[in-house]
Amino acid sequence: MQFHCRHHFDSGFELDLEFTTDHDCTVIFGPSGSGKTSILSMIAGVLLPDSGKIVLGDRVLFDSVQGICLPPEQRGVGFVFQDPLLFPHKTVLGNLEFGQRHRKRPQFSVDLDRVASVLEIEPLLTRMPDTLSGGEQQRVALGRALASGPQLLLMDEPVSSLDESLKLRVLGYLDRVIEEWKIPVLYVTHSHAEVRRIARHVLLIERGRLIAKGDVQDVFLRDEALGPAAVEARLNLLRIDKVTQEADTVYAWIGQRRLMVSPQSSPADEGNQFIQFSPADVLVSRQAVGGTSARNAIHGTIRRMVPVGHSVLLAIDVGQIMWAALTEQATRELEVEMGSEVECLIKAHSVHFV
Amino acid sequence: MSIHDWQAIWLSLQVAVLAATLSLPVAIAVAWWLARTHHPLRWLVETVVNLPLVLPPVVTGFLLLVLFSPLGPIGSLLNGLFGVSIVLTWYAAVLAAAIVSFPLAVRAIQVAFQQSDRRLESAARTLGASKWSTFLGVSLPLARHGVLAGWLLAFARSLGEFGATIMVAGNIAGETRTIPLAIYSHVNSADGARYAWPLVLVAILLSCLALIAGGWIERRASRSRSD
Repeated sequence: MQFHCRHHFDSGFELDLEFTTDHDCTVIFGPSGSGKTSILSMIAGVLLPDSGKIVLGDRVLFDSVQGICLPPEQRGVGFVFQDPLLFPHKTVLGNLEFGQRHRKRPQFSVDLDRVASVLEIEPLLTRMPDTLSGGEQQRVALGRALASGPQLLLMDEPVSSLDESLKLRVLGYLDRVIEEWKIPVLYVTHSHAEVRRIARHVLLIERGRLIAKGDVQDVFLRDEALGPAAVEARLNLLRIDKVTQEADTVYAWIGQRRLMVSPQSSPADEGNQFIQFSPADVLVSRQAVGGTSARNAIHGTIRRMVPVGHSVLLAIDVGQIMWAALTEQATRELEVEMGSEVECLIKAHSVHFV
Repeated sequence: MSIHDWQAIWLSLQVAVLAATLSLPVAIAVAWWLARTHHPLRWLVETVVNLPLVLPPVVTGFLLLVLFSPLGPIGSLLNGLFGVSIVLTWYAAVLAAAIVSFPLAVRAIQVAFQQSDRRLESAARTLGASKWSTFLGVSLPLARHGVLAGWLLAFARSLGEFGATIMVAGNIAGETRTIPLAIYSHVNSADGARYAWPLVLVAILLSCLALIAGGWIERRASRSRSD
């Protein structure tokens, strides 16, 4: 998909942005008011830019020079909004059928039974939207968008109104959807945890401009991405490759590295899994250390050092980027610099599955 | 009650139902336009639509009489094309009631359209529904309580219509004499006030029923909004 649009809002806000993406899941990340939602609205056709061009696959959705502007119903994009926006006068099934009935691409047939089973909403089909929980409503909204057979799925902070544990569950459903239907997703969020959780490819937006783009690990190492808010929101969220168990002990594997996980934390049943811990819970040493109570010692390379107040955040490459928070003094005494090899100690009790 | 009283009741119900029902599609279209447009002439349309609300009904009736009399602009057209004249007929009573009650229906429906969440319409469009299917499948069902309330208001107002009706439809027993005209006629005849009572009670009863039904619709509407 190609996007290049300019728009001047009545409030004085200017959006001028160009990007191309062909990844299966691209996240548009930026603070509130940076113009993220407007981008999705322009692609969906519910907001018309002053000028520019939007191309999806081989179809031109909008081109101000050639005077092309497809109405929303002909654009072939599904939109999942921040609020579920289910039709209150229709049952869950009625909502799904509305999407299917007005399907834009007849050749793309969606099996409603399959949608309902992947999203686990079969028991809800006869219920009215107002009797569903927030997470259930958002799953139905996702199902309704899928039923319309979109060529691209736009998601505007779809889980921001849900509580933490529910967020990750709903995102788990999104993983399944991408896997099952191979529909590319453009996902808007201002939450750091969500980006780390779902994205491989990120567009960083600020004040209506694109300031960085690329692989999620790289983008967040750049200066542009390291505003104070970004640091505050920083939490180690590592994608794990497998989980093993020896006696009572559960291990999460990141490549060849193995981390012992808190006995109180149990892994999710299936799908992508992550472990989470605070940067403050990471101890850093120049040499391999023995005789400590910390269960986890993993080796890594320092890729960045970011001063934040009286602390320093170290980005340590352990196969993925992991952050460690140290005091200024500790950092000086350790005599570490970019490229230093370090040993990281993490207590098992700090590491949790999410 | 005399046979004429029963005729008046039956006629009133027919006229009110027809007036409210026939004008409903037009009222929905006008209410939709008023609720969604930013057209520079919106104020003009709104003024014309609401005019019967404040104009003395007798004046509305007089204007209708001028327009629809066999020599008037619309009346001569109807006469030339179909050979009919509606003045002093039952049709004129329906016309008068429809015009006078029109602004009430429009207002109730317009408010309902304005209160519904327009983002639901955007959602419908992104799901592939055209403007027209979105209107029929989402906007109109969401405004259904307003439409029902608008119909009921128009019906109740039509039942009580007097001034415009007597101007354009006359007061012909069994033909155009609705409940209010019948009550007026009773009171004007010798010792008639006594005979007016049954119709007065019927009018009160019908009005109460309309109010109760209106209140019920409003409660349903506010419940579905707060959900």
